[in-house]
Amino acid sequence: MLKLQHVDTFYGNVPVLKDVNIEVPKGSITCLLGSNGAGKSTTLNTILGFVTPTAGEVIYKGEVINGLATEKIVSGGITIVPEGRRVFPKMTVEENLLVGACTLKNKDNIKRNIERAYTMFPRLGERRNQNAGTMSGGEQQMLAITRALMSDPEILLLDEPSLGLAPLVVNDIFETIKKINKDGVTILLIEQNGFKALAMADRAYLLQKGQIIASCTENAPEAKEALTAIYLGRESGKEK
Amino acid sequence: MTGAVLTQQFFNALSLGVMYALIAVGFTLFFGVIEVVNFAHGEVFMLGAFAAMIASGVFVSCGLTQGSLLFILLILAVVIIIGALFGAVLEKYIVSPMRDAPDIMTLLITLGASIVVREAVMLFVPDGRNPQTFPVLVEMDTIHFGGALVKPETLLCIVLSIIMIAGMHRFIQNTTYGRYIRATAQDRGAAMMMGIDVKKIFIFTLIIGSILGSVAGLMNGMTYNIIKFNMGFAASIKGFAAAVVGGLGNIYGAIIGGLLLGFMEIFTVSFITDGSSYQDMISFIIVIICLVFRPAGLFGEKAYEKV
Repeated sequence: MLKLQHVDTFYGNVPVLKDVNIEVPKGSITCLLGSNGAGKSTTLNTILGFVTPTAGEVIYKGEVINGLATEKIVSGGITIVPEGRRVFPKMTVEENLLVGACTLKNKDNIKRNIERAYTMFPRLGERRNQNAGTMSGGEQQMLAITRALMSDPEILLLDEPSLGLAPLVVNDIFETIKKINKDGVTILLIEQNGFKALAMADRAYLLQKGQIIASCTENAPEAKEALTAIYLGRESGKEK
Repeated sequence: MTGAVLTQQFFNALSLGVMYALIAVGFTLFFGVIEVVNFAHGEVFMLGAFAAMIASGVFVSCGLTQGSLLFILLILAVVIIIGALFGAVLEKYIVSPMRDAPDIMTLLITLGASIVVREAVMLFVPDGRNPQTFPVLVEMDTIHFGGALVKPETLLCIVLSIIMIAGMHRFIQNTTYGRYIRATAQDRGAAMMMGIDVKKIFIFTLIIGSILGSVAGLMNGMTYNIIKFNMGFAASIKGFAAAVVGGLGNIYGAIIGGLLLGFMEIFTVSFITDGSSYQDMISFIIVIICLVFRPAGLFGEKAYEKV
């Protein structure tokens, strides 16, 4: 459904991504792992059109989308739960959801999706008139996820959704991601400490210094263990 | 000092204050949403006044009765259209090409645009070098408030400004596009991730702010009866000062800042002997004191780290 082929991305003169190949099949949970500064967020920024790759292609549903404006890409069905949640702090929960629906034209669909969000997280419904900036981190993450779902995306990108949250809340968030995937939304999940993410992933890639250094393309325990070994090896190697 | 004089000066101060507030709201919107300081904003104020003057002449020669409701509404429509056009053109051809350049470039290019517009009016409006008499748009008797005499234009301007500001507030708070404008102001990147076309939002914002500015120019003409090609400069400095005092980026702060500056000026003029000589000096001393003690402005949140 979404493919990155031989993608190079630069920030100014600094190369960030080098020959990155990633495939996210329809209906899958694909996981992109890597330490801080490996280029994970840049990968997402490249997909969303915030940066244009200098080489290679981003292909979505058979069409090249690099070079398109971000709003075109989003209305094509790719949305994101950004790192650090990025809810609009001085808008109410409901207003945040309405902004998330900005690519939808049909008022009934918007209403239906808001109800869906409140069913998914009743706590958001209770706080619909509260400013998002006054809520806890976990609640903001719930809002960021439901906001991204407002436009009925086909593929959802999640940038470190567990960052800065209590372990119990992290469990909830991961259960929610699984549920969203069961409902038919393809997932590209990015995590720094990604063992939990890896456990539920169908495919996984390991990114290091802007390059994919390992991947496992099947949901098999041995393949995942092999990837974990490489990941841990690199991580512990870095600490020395 | 009698109560009548006080009442009279109160109305004068209020009408000047709301005029500054209209300009200041523009500055604060541009800064809050687009993150630019638009120094060409004073020119839309001047253009509003000149458009009203020229339109009035044209409408009268077309046979419309001066002072009729249709006449006033048509003039207001012309002023609003000129403001909107100016804002749209400014964003598309002046501000947006400088989007990724350092802030100082936007400052310079808007300042340049403002000089070009100002000089063009001076050169191409007949006798544009000299002050122009602004036509009388409404002919009504002076209104008596107790012993105070209040010009009908003053009241009209106050009412018009309140309607404009309330309308803008409703638009920003309650409409879909207003919501997108707020989202863009709070987090531009996140707004883009939601699929908002921020370029459209920028044009929209400049149009709204410029309309408020051009209407302020119309009000200035009606209140003082004299307009000049360089009137935008002083107005933009005052409007910018009001926005900064209120806290750049905060709409309510800009309104309060405008009123504060208006009252300060009028009360300096009326209660200090030879006050009109000290008018600007005292106003700006207050501005400086405000900023020394509250660098982000009275109600500022994000101005401090950004400027």
